[in-house]
Amino acid sequence: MGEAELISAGMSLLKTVVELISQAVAGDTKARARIRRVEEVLKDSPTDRAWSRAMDIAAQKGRAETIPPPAPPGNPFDEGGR
Amino acid sequence: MSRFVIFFAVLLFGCDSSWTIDTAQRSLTAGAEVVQVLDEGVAPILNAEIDRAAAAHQTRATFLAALEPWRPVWLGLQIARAAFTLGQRGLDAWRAGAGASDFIAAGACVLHGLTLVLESPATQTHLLEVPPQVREWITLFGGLAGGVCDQSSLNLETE
Repeated sequence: MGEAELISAGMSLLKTVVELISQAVAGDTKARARIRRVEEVLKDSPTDRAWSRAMDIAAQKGRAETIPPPAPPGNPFDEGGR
Repeated sequence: MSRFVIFFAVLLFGCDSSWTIDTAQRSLTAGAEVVQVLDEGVAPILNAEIDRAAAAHQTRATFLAALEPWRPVWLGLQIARAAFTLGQRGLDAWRAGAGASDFIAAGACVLHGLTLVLESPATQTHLLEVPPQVREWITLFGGLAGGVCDQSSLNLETE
């Protein structure tokens, strides 16, 4: 077998392999597109996570508002005229 | 009047019996992909707004008031997501021999959810400016879809 024939056979083999791979990829994509369900597409919701974070911040702010102000310095037992 | 004619023409086209289950599955999957992309696109903008509002507002009430325009965006996306899941269940039932009514009912909730997103002031300000003519159509379709959508079937926590 001459060098030219060897190159030609190699090229032909390479072409066949590329065609087989592209067919397999196309077939796989087609099959996946056909059977893909909504649950596979809708993963988690980043917007919902962001909204939950906002509600957590709102709750923290609400708690901070209800904490009573610190008591004035001094001994409370001193009050009452003792 | 002509808008109603077009609306019902679109509705009849959508409910046409030539729709196969495969076509319905492909449409459902494509729609869910759009909603997922929208959800992932909105989240960073919303997070930035939350950070800004948290820094600017000290009280719970003013903080929540600052985020109020975003509520329909969040709610609309959750409605659309739940409606797609419901649509998948309807499609499974259709495939199993039941009618397509549950699948079509979920379609109304998808429209209702997306309308809430598109009509929201936050969408208009931060995401995209919808032209007034298109907004009229959205209001028309969304109003009708909102009337048809049975939101209780979506089992959503809206607070």
